[in-house]
Amino acid sequence: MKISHRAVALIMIMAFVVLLIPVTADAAALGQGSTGEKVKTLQSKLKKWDYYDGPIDGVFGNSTRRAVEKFQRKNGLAVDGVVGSATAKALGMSLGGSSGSSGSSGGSSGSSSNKNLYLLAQLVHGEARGEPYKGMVAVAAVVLNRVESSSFPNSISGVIYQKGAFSVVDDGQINLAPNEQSIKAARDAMNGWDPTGGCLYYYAPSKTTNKWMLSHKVKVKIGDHAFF
Amino acid sequence: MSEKAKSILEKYLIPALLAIALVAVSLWATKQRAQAQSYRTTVEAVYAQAYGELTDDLYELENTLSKLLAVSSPSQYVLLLDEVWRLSGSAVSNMSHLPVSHVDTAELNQFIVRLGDYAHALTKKAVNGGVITDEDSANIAKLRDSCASLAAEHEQKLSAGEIPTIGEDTYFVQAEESQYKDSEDIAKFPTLIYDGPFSESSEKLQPMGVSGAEVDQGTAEQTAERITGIDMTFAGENQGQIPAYDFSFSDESGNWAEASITKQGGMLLYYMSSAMGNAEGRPDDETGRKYRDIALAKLTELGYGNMQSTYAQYYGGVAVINFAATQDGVILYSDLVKVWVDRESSRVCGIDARNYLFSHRQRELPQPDVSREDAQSMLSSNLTVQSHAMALIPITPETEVLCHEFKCTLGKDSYILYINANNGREEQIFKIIDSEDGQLVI
Repeated sequence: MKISHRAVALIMIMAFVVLLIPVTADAAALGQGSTGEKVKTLQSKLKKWDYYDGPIDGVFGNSTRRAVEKFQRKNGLAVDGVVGSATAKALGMSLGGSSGSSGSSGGSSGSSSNKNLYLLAQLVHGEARGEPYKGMVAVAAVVLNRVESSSFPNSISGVIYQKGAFSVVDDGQINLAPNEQSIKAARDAMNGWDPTGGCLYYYAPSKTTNKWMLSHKVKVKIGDHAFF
Repeated sequence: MSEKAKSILEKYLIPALLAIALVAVSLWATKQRAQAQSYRTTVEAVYAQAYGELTDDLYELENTLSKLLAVSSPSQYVLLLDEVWRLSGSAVSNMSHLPVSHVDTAELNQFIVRLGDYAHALTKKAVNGGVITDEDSANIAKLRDSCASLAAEHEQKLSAGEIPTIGEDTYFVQAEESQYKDSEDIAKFPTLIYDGPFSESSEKLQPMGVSGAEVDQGTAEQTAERITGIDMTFAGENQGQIPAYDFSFSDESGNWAEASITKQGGMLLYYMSSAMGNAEGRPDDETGRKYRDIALAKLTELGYGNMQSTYAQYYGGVAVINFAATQDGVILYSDLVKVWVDRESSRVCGIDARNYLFSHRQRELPQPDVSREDAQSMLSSNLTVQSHAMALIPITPETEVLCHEFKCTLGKDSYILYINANNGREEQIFKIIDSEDGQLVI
């Protein structure tokens, strides 16, 4: 009896403590896969101080990460290759707003196409990582085919955030930073590669029970996905 | 610890701690609940707003379409058509915010998009001096009636309090029910025959550049291997817009290749493979020319005659060069082939001929009625002309016009302008944006 009392108390208190731990996530940090104006600012600062010799292209890739690590080592910061608040402060830049992908306010169409590319890459990363490369491009192509279709919203974000359209939007995986493969797949699709031949839908035959999906004739199968 | 202390601990302290913990957890849960409720209210308010605005848009569409039937002056006509276009865009945007399945809204979405697209096509016709026919008026009347009944239906739901809520997906007709009554539903909205990007006819365009006899899988495989120089295996058939055989290759070190050969004619639809290059940034002009020559040599080898490079992009270690077909010195901008060149190995690592297969054919090119000099005199005097070419450009998915193409500069900015070679109208303008990735034409 004694033990169980104590055990219960302990469990309750621990549960209580766990529940109260605030969930901290540095949403605004820049890391590999980030894109946009903030990354450009970061790259030009690193370049000015000779940590970085790549292009100022607004894409946080391997070389940018290495430069950030170098900067962190030199300045006695935790070396993780991610620009969080401490590193940003040392660099003299503000991270404000959401991650670099949002670009500058009212930006030119150049930065808006960057933003669309990043969002499309996030979708590909969430929906099709682990698929063959062609299958990743195919998922991006379906989004672009929907943008062109009269039956769907006429923008990339409209199509991606449409209710029920993609499960990764519902479970939050859409917010993961895409890897380089996903960014390249999104780019190849935007450049016109469509392995699906104009398909507007896809599903995983091993997982779906949706009658509507299953009632359609499959046009092509790529990896684990069936497209129509 | 003494017996007494132990007993105090057990009798009072632990129950007290438990009670405190319980109260704290309850308070916390209440707060969480209140917060969740507040989020829910906020989100549902957004839904209600989108729904309310959608209903307003439908009513406004009905009114504007009615007015269109009543006006007689071309300027009023164009202003009202413009309003229809704006309202259609607004309605589609509001629809995309509703918490309903894309499958259920597809049909209504299509109706509203085509309505706007149709209005836009009529605007173009009107500003170019076209007259409004009885058929156009009959269409507008039918569209007005559809909008009226839609608006009334939505208003009714709204006043019955059927505002969409989180987790409720039954707002529009459920997909399972609607899928079998397709045939009746098509008649629900009037069919529009016009030439615009979202029209039924342009969404069902057939490939015009695919010709020849049907080939079997074995022949297609040989074609794929001849073009790619790689031993490939069959990866399935593709029943998409252009039926094709797909072939794949991959090895342990992560190299891969994909190719697709059309069933009819055994033509290359696309070839894509892994690039090894890590080259970044934009190459100098001479290197850029070298990539272009490599790409062009490959196209010539594959039998594409008279291709002219238009612009290039650089990313992920590759150069992507766009080529357009030419006929009698006229650039056919619809007949595009894109070629990917791996910058490190200077090897062609990708070709996309889908656009070319969709549109390539022998064109009947008209004689230009407007001379180059006359066309140039119609350009804004602020522009400095850098070069001139003749080009056939797509104005809508189904209409191409012969134009004088002028590449011009204005201050630091570059533009491409197209003057209709038949009537001297300014048909199209592009702005060229120079970036690290190459040139972007928008």
